[in-house]
Amino acid sequence: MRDLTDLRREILRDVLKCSYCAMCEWVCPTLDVGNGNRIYGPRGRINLIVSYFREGSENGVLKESIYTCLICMACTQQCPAGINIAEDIRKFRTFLTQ
Amino acid sequence: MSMYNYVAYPNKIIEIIRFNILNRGIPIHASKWTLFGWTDGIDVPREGEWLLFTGFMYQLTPYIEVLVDKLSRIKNGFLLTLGSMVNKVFDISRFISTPPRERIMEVHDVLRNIYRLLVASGYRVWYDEAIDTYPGTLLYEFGLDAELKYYGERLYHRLKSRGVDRIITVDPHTTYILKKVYPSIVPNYDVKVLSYLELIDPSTLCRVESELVYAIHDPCYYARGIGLYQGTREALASVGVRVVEPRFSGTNTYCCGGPIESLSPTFSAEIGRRRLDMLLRTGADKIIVMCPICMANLRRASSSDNIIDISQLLKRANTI
Ligand code: SF4
Ligand code: SF4
Repeated sequence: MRDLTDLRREILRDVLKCSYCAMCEWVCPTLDVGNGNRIYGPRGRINLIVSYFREGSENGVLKESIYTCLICMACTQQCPAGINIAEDIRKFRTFLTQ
Repeated sequence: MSMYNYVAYPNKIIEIIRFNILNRGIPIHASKWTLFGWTDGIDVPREGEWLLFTGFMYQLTPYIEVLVDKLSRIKNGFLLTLGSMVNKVFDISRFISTPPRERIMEVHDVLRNIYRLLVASGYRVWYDEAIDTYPGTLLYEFGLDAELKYYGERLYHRLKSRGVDRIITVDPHTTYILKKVYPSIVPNYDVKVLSYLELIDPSTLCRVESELVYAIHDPCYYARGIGLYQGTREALASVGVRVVEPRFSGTNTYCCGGPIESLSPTFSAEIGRRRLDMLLRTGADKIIVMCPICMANLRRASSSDNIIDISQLLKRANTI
């Protein structure tokens, strides 16, 4: 089984490429339903992941954000930075079940 | 109470499903008849070239429909805590799910028709109850990759012990896991995996004589997952089905909302309503889906009987 430290590094390396351009947001079904609250969109999700890894605190908002994601990959194909957004969110879920 | 309350008890739900998949080989209980009854009355060979692997997604969906309905009414986390404890000894999903018989028979018809389409297209298809199994989709979606690897290795061993090297799948989630996910985590994984929609020969299909207009809903894991969307349109066009495209289609398709049905039933339902609305705004009479999860979630949003599986439109022209 792969070490969580490696997984953390792998996810972080990818999500840190985010330049906050928001190109991923218009296609996201959950952002739509969450009334535009950015925790329900791809950009919000990956930046919450960054905060979690850097500050280490887990709260209800993080779970709410990560577990409402459909892993539908609509965002991934929009990202000009080539971030594997949906896959990063999916893999990150493992940190919430530890 | 927090302002964020679309996700109620993720860890408890995940624990119940994880336990069931790893220990019972299935996320929720379903009867043997539900899982395998589609072969009743037809003589499906036990050996051949292409193994038909249903992955149980079509068969489980009627049970998931009932479960989601129950979950969306649970307001007390204590019940789920108790449930996840009891579940280790007794499968609690046995208590909650008894879908209507007609719904299961509809699923059996879908599977039977897919089998017939493949035979008519010239494939030597075989099936074995002892090999067909749940593919591990929810372990994947919940990010439980260590468990998924273990589960995938076991599944692969089972396939190889029967010499399987070609598989035909019937739904996008099973297709994606077997075709894209397991090759990257199961050592030496070597199986050719194709969806039946990639294989059926349009020249064997019967023309659809209908004035109706159909809106097409692409499942994420076919369109974005394996790039399958053009072939389905060609098959429909070849039999004369009039297809219209909704806002967001092909690789830009909009998810039906189904994947979060267990973690966030209210959110999932709202996404289903919005997608249904987009599909109906095309002016179409009916909606074509090709995934049992899309079928369930869009039907949940719909007040009329206007959603059909693509296999219910594609019928073989000749008799077997
Ligand atoms: S994968 Fe998640 S974040 Fe990306 S578009 Fe789909 S629901 Fe939104
Ligand atoms: S499209 Fe990519 S770079 Fe832009 S906000 Fe989204 S994740 Fe960040």
